[in-house]
Amino acid sequence: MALVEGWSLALSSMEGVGSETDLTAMVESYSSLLFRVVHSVLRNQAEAEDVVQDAFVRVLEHRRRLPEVRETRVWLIRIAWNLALDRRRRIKPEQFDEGFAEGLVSRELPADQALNEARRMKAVLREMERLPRAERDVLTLAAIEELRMAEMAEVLGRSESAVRALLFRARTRLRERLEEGRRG
Amino acid sequence: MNSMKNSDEAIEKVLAGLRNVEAPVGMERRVLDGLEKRAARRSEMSSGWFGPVWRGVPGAYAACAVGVAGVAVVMLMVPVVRRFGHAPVQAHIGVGSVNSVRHISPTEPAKDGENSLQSSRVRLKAGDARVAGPVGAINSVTDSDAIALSETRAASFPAPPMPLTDQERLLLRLSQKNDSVELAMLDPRLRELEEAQEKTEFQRFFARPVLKEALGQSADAATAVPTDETDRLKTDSGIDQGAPQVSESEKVTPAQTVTPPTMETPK
Repeated sequence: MALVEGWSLALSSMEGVGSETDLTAMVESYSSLLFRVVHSVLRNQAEAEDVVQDAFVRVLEHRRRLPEVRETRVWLIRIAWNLALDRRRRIKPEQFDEGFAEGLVSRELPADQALNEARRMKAVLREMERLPRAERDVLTLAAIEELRMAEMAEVLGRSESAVRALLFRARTRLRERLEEGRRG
Repeated sequence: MNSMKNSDEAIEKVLAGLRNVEAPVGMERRVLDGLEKRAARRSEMSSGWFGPVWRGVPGAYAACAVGVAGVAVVMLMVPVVRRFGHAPVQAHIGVGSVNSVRHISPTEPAKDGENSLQSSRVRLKAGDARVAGPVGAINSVTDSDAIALSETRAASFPAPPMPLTDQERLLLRLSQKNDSVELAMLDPRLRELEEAQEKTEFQRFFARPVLKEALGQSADAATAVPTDETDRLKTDSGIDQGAPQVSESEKVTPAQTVTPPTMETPK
């Protein structure tokens, strides 16, 4: 913890403009939330942690702008969200779906049922990837359930009503496609 | 209806899985370590060598100090620049004299003399400048101007031609001699033609005496044994009447019948 305290002091001396922003406290408060947001996009823990690190590096680089930031939480989520979307262009989240789907299945189930369940989860993830980008983004961000509609709208750069409509359409489309797939 | 319920369940399960994911243990510490390293690197890069000295000094004072130091450096450099400003010109003196000697025109003897004199004078003065110190240096500067002017006015000549190679010399000799036979010998086709022609001439040369010899023997036989029969025949045929009398010395021998070989083809 000595290291963390040292970090806190170093950052407050760097600021020197009255608003002593404690980056350590920021990391402690928001790193888990940012990790979940980024993980919902990338579905890989190592990549998500790397992106969270990048997000705080951006904060460090733009620390002079911190006093101007009204809502630190939304600001941080927006940085992490954009970085995750950038990273998503380089990696393909589909390659991690199998491991993630297996992790969702209960370990108490018999092997054959666990296999079927894992297939179902994987089908859902695949259909989520096939959704239009705006719908997929809203659905992914809504899955966190820690953001209000206004905050989601600010992160995505859309109006609240648009976010609501996109979320409704996303769920409907996803359900229909899953049923079609099951019938086929 | 049941399938719809199943789909909703699956969707909810996946979204709950995304929601409930836990951050890896020790992520916060790793993030902070990374930030510390990055901040240390940035501070090293920004501070550099004078970093510890300037740390804690207000920005305005630091700017004033840098400005004063810059003015002081400029003021110190001005006399130094004035003193040593023409040093490169002195260095050019030797080179200029060498060049002036090299560019002496062989076609202009008068100028040649002037140039050599001038260059030797300049060399002497340059030597004096090296010995005499500042006064000599000033003289050498004026002399160097004179050298520069004289060199700009001097006539320029092209570089001497390069020596010819053996092959070039051989070709030049052949072309200047203008011997068509030798030139033609360079061409293998013409050479073969020439050889064929010579062979023909040779064969013609040795073919003629054989014929003449045969003819001569028959003539000898006719003249060496004159009989009445032959005389009678001659008188009858009238050979001796109009034909010139050929003496013994005028008889044709193979050696005498040889005519110099000509290029004409036999008829």
